Amino acid sequence: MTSVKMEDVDLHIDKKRILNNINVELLSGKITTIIGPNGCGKSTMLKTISNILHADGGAVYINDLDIRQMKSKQLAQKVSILSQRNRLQYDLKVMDLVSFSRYPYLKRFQGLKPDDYKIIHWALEETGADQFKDRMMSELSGGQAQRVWISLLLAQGADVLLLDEPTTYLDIHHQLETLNIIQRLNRKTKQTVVMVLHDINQAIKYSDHIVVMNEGQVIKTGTSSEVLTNEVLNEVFNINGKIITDPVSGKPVLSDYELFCHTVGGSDVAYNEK
Amino acid sequence: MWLTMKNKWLLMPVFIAGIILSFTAAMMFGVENYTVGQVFSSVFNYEAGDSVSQILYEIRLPRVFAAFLAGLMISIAGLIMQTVTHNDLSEPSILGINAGANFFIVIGALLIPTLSFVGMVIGGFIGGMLVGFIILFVTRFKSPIHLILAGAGISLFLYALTDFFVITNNLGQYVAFFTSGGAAGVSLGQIMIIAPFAFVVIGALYFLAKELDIFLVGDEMSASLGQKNALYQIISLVCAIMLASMSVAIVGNIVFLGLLVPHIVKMTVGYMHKYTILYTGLLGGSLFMLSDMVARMLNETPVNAVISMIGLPFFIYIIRQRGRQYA
Repeated sequence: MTSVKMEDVDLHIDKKRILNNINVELLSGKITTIIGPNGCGKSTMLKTISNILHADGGAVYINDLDIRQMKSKQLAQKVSILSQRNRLQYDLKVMDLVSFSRYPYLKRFQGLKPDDYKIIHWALEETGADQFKDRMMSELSGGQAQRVWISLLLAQGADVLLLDEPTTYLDIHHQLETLNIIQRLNRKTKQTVVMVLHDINQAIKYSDHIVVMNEGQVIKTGTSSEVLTNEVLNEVFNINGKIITDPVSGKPVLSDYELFCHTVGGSDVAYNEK
Repeated sequence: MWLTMKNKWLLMPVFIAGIILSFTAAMMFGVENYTVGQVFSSVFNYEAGDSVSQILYEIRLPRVFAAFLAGLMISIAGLIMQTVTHNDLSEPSILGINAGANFFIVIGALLIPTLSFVGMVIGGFIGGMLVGFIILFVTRFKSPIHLILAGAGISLFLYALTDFFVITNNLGQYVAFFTSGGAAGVSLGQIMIIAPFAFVVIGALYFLAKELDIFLVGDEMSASLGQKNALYQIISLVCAIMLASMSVAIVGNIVFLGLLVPHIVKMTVGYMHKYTILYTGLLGGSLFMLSDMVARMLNETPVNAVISMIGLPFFIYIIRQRGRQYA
């Protein structure tokens, strides 16, 4: 099990403050979901943990080791990330694409060994992507492609999986299918999963822990019932919601929602002026 | 299709046969035509007194070798540039690398009239590197459109500047050869200087095939796989620029080949570099030997005109097919 901790993390892009003093510890072996409005820094936070973007203040610790002190391949063995828009510029064979996952373990000029292929085949089987491992990526549907990407992450063998909107562009069936795969794998392998989701009910259903972000700051962290309050919906998402408790799971459910500005007269004007 | 073929080395015999055939054809046909027998007897049993032997061995053979080597180098340079800039339109002449090499070779020849061939190659390399890094720092390879515009701008500027020096110094004859491109007048000695360097550089790139493959998943994903993007981008670019500038030093600015050949190869065997580097080199060498042959048969038409006849339609095709994703 691997712990991920962010301490006083600040990050600017083109002088604009994207992350503002982030202090958060992500539960090891559990699923944490980050929710928040567009542009609040969710994706940036994941990219900072995987060192694609570099924090200009504070530090990120993986197992109490500052990621700046880790070699890039060493970090890649600990943390893997699935970006939001994984459009391949070039059409690759599924097997070739997934085999890139073993790159962090290869020395210079070294090729894949039988053990690497074993791990790749295991990863493809876990997500069911082995059925189309010899096809080209362009021939696959969105759901199938997403399974290939998740296989790539699995074969990378990192303890921390960062998933940036893994369900975007998928229909509801494939959204659930993808989330079920992630949940099943998390229960089985005890990897630390951190994902960004837009659907609040999916976030509640699939995660042990929720982090709410707004304007580059972490507003609230905790279990779904601790986090999902009308106050949070109002302040962070600018909506009014009806929250009920699911009688089976005991978790809160957002059963209906409405734009905040419609219910509070006049504030839509203020919103437009922003 | 070939793309899903399990063992892509199965195509190698086809490419080798292609090389042998185009070499033989390029030796046979030209301003004067010879038979296969004459070609082989002059290459393998060279007799000093025989005039046919002399033409074939001393004039045509170096020219065909030069064409092969230049085609191979410029095509591999194009392939590597396309990979590391994430841009299907990258190629030494489009990025302005050739213009930079050309400019420095001309300036070198102007300042030092006794400039040796090695001096020209080094000058070309410096010029190519300068343009390469100007473009790297101006565009950061972020947007394909910026890259092409910067390359075109620098190319136009440097060719204009070259023309200015050429006209004011009456260097016309000497330089016309570089800008129109062609394998005529290359000596075997020059090829012997270039060839070992070319094979060392291509060998280095072949060792980096795995690193080059990782570029195919895009900058963010490759970074998250632990790839040092900037490091390998620069190493591979320096190798590609070396190949391009050596090619400029022997045959001048060759257009389209660096674009055309890698795309044909990628459509045939896919994108993995352990295949594409070798196949691109072999196909580029064959195609340039044949283009040079056609140029000779058409009364020494500039070889660029021959390549452009095939290259331009293909260029338009690429823009129509691939350009959409940049819109």
